[in-house]
Amino acid sequence: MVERYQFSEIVDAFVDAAKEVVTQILGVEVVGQQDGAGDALITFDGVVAVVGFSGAFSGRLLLGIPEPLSVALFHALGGETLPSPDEELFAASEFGNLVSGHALTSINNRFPGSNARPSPPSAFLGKRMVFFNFGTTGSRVILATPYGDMRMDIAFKEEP
Amino acid sequence: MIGELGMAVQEVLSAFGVEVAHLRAKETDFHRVEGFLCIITGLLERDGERKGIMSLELDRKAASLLAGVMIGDPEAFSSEMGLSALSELATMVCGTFLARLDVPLLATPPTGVVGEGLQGILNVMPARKVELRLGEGLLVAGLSLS
Repeated sequence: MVERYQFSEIVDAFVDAAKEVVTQILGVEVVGQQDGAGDALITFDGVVAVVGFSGAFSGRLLLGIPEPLSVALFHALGGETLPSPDEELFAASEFGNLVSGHALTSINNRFPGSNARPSPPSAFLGKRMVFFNFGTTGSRVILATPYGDMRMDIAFKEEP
Repeated sequence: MIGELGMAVQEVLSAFGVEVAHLRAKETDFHRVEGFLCIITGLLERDGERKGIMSLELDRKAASLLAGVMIGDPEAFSSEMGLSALSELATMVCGTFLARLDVPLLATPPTGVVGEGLQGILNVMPARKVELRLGEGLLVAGLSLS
């Protein structure tokens, strides 16, 4: 069983996974990190990957990907020209899948019995998109990369 | 399963006094966003490998109608209170849908997004959808499950 006080370790696992995947795929390091509290309403421009997870605890990961990082991910995953909107969405989905997969493997090793698994990744593209979750508590982390700031928002369902 | 999802939506809407006048089924290659407001819930088989996405997608008129019914203010559908009410509607639909199934599925918390010109791929799996006409608005319930 994972207790509420252990959520910070789970957030750290997602952040570490994102850094690892960025380095593995793009060959660059995350150069800075800012942490804060999550919000019920979150506004994004650009591309956003969303991955839910469920098991002994449940929640969801949002990855706000700036345009230059989205294009770099597309090229690193095999794209050659400027990506179409669908190609950007597929690349963001794959990135979300990789980050959540790495993180949940690490979490399940750290907390045996969690059996936390990811839902299929979703991805969105637009201007001034407002994402919303209610009945969750979360953390916001901004990772500075050479391709711009990537915003992570990890929310956990509040159990009654 | 899409039939059960359609019935779950009808049942929940009926509890709010909203009777659905029209129901049409369709299939799409990927599970894409339609409408300007979308709420997604991840689904995971409790003891198996199946997983997928359930979506509720609304155009402005449907979101306005439901905000009017649920919080008494049709204009407030994109306010925090309006979005919270629509999120609760998605939770109710998901719970009603899962209760109708033989397969035990876990659900992730619902995540919603609203925006003009919104584009999205919710799942690379093919999706089945039901369109429900709400007055002059459209609500689309979608399901893509491996």
